[in-house]
Amino acid sequence: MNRKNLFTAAALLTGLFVSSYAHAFVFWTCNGNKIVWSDPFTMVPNTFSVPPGGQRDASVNNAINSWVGVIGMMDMVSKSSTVTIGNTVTTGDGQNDVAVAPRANIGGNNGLTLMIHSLCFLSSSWGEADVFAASDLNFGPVKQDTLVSNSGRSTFMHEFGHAHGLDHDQKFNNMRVPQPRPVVGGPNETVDVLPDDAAGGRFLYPSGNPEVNLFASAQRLNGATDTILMNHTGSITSCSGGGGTVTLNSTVGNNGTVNVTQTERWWVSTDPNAFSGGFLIFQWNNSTFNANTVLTRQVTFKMPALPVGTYFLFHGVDVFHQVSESREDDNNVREGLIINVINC
Amino acid sequence: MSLQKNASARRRLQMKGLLLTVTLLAAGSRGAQADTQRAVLTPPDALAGTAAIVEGNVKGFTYTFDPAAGPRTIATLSDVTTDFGSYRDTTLQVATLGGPINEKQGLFIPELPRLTDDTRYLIFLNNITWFFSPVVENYVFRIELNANGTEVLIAPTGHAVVGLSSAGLVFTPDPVVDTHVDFLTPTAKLPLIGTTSNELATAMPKTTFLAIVQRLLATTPLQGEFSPVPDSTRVWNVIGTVQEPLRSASH
Repeated sequence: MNRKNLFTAAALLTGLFVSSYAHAFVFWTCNGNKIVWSDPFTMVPNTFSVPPGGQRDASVNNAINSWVGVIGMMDMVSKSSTVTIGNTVTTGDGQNDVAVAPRANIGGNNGLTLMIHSLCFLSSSWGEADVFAASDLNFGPVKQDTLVSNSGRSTFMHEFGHAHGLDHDQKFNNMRVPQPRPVVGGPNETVDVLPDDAAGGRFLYPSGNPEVNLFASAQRLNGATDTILMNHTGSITSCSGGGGTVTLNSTVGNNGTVNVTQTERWWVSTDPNAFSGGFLIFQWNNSTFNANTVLTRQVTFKMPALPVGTYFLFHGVDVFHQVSESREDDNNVREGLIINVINC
Repeated sequence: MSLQKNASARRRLQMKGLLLTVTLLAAGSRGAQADTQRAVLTPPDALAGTAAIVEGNVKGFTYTFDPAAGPRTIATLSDVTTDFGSYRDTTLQVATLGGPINEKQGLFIPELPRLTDDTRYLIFLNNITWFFSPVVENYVFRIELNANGTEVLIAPTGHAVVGLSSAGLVFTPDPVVDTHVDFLTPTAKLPLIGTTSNELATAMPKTTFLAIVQRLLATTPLQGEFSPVPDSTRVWNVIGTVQEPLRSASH
């Protein structure tokens, strides 16, 4: 079956809106003025607990790089070339530390950020931030097609949001409590700054530069219960002859500052890492995602004929590279759904 | 044979790392001293760490500073009643780490629950030696009346509670309280959002919440005593860290 025939078979039946929101980030003020750092701040790693080259170090690097990677926001945080080597971290010394501590040492929390600020009169600013994550977390990469509640990578991303001056906010974002938090798709790092987080960063530290970036996610915000859920889990069965109807939740985020119109695709493959394509099952031309939003839609279409096998389901945005994005490797996600194609 | 040798060598290396960790932690400062706190993922986890569940009205705040206990924001609650557990006083002081350090600087810890003036709360009080906050995780709920005159609960995120089970809490889709804090008035009562009447109408009555808690207590009974003062063996500005396990560090 060629692509043209496939598109004809995969007729769109419905495109049902599931959830959407614009930014709603929360930050602290003093006398109505936002509390921010007056200058960029440098984090000093405690190499006793965050040794170079380890998973914890990778988690810290990811959080710093992700926040710095927000275009339209000044580069506020960096990693110091100096380190501390002891088994304690001190707050109130004017040095911003990042470390991993036993959970009991940080009040049972996944993460904790101790922030020193100038006392509030007419205005206030941050003067120190010491960031901690609990040692019993998993600091490895987060799989895009699962929900995890013990991610050290997610914890550092969240705590660095606090370090910039963002408060909790229950959206499809990293500043929500508690885990699980949503992640982006793709073959590389899945824990990234999300639209609401990015909007908050741009508001606190605006540079005015535009950013273009879409991502696909295997998660969605269930607005009815204020929880992050998988778009899909488990498996379904489809006939090799095709024709069956499938309804999918599909999430796309725009963490840039520009509305983007592009082409989406859904495809399946027996390879769990087929981010660059497999058997195309549906294409949606010219869908638009507004800046700083996350949209989950329910899409229903007919399955095409496929060889018998066990397939992973993928969803991709900007599949024809119609727009140049700040990050291109988060466009294609492996959903948490297995499709078993049987001979019928 | 060589594989066994390699495995043994790795185990010896890991054991050396473990011993080094234990030694360094034992030699650490008071800040490295651990208490018994653990992750709270579900309501039964919270109940396992709870000595008492109480209600009270915040009547005022004081700020203290102690070289060891650090800056504390102390909320004083009056008319305290105990729903479950062994708390017997009619007043309660919730001493949370954070507040003015000196005339120029303050400490703020975003993860800790914040109480506000002239507000009634339902609070789960720790049964462990605590240091940061006497509240179990974020199990502190603002009590508000909905349009029907029914008491309902609002979580620190600003969302009202609509469900409770052993699996977790369920909240309203949108916040019913504007959680934005201005440091000029850090303890000011947070305003209800204008459009919350419908949301509060769907919220779970406090009495229902407590009835479910009572059922959960059948399998996870409250235990221990609440201590109103923070762990005296710790120092506020020193936190002990811990080495990365060799297996993780090598990846």
